[in-house]
Amino acid sequence: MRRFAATGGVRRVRAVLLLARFEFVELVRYPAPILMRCLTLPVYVVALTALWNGLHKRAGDGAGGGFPALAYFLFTQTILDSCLNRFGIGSLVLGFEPALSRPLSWWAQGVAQGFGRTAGQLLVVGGLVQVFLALTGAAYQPAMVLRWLLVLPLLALADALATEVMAGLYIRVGKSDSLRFVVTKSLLALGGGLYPLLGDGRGGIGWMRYLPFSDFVFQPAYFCLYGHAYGMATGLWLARVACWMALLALAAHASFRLAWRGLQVAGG
Amino acid sequence: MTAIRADGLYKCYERRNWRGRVVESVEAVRGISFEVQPGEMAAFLGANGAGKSTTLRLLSGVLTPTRGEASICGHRSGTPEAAMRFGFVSGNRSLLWSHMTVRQSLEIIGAIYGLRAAERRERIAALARELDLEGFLGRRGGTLSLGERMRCEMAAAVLHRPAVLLADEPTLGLDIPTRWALRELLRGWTRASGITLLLTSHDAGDIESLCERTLLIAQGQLVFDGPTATLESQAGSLEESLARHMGERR
Repeated sequence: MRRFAATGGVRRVRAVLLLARFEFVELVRYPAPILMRCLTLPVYVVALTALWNGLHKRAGDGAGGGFPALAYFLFTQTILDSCLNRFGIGSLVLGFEPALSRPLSWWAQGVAQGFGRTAGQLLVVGGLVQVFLALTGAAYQPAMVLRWLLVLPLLALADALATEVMAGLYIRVGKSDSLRFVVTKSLLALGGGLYPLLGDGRGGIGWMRYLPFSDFVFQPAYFCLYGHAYGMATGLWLARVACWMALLALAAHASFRLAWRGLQVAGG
Repeated sequence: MTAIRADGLYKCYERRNWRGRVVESVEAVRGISFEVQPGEMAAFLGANGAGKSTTLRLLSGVLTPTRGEASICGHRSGTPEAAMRFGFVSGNRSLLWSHMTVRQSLEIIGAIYGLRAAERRERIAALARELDLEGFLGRRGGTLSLGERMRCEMAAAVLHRPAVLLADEPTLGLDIPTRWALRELLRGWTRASGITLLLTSHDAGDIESLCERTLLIAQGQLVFDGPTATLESQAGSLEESLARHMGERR
């Protein structure tokens, strides 16, 4: 009988951490593909900021009504660009069968991979955003870096779980691009990227801020700017995030079971 | 203890309509039973769609049987205990992460099987020497040629020193010199390590050079189980004998 150095839980935790670390390191060491994907980011941000400032000038509020629109749009676009990466979904789909023959679940491998990749992307692009803000002096505060680092793990974990849901559905039904489109566009429309344009920057978003999309796009960006959540206690926002994460984890598990059952019935 | 055991393995795939009713069913494997003893090197052959890959996927725990049972070293397939005791190499599916370096992939696989960092480094270095991988360790999986990738896949499959190696068409698509080199590598390595090998291949050369026993499957059922030499003697060559057997059962 062969002996192995680590058993059960310890072995799984070590493997998951190593997988997440390598994904993170690879992305940070070779950020070119991510940066290429973000080439259009300044265009959106400049256009939206100009739109926001123009609206407020016309209303006689002065430039932007005091709201740091440029920084806000940079943060929200960075978050939106990191959501449901197509390569991430493809990588999990390809790794499904090999994972089933290993003593570590596909579920755990997928979360580790997704977390490492998204955390790396948010660190690289978010880091550039911070440097840009510091150089231009546009509403920059050194505390923003710390706040960004605080929300980064939450965003990375949420994206990892959502990616796992999509990958499971892809394996089961053969395609999940349409669903991915619906989710990413819902995040764009309802997540808060455009909230400032709907009202005065701090109001006018009404019920939309109670949607889960808002908790993962608008609130993190707002938290980075001001150090607290908008319209609710920061603790309540974090509790809401924890609840959505728990639901996402259940959905990811259900998606895995669906994919697994599909493989057993149809053979892949 | 038996290294590989299949006991009445039966697998049926189904296609269902939106109401959940079965509209089509295919019996991929129909009651296969066999045992492979430790250190034995056996070939598992059959025509396309005969059920070879399904049987290997049942043994590896990727699929669960509709009926019957599969086990590796006495542990039911699909359990972590069984997973720790075999390695799987496939010409169709990669064990490596295409966007990571070969070294990173091997490190992760080692960690999944519970090897500590020092042990992983030591084994990766030893396998790199044995399989001549030193030049590839720093390259990403997606940038390797098929021959290079298969050598790395081999390393990934045996890194945790499994008792059993399941190889599903490992020489698929390789050119003649690479196929020959990989075959030699597999032969030398399996004999030296005493590992149990169950190999599927469409290449008679793989079987002749590696396996003393052959199991032949047709339409999901085992139709021959015996020494490879017996099959060879039934016709002019192993290839001809296999062609006859498979042709008869189509």
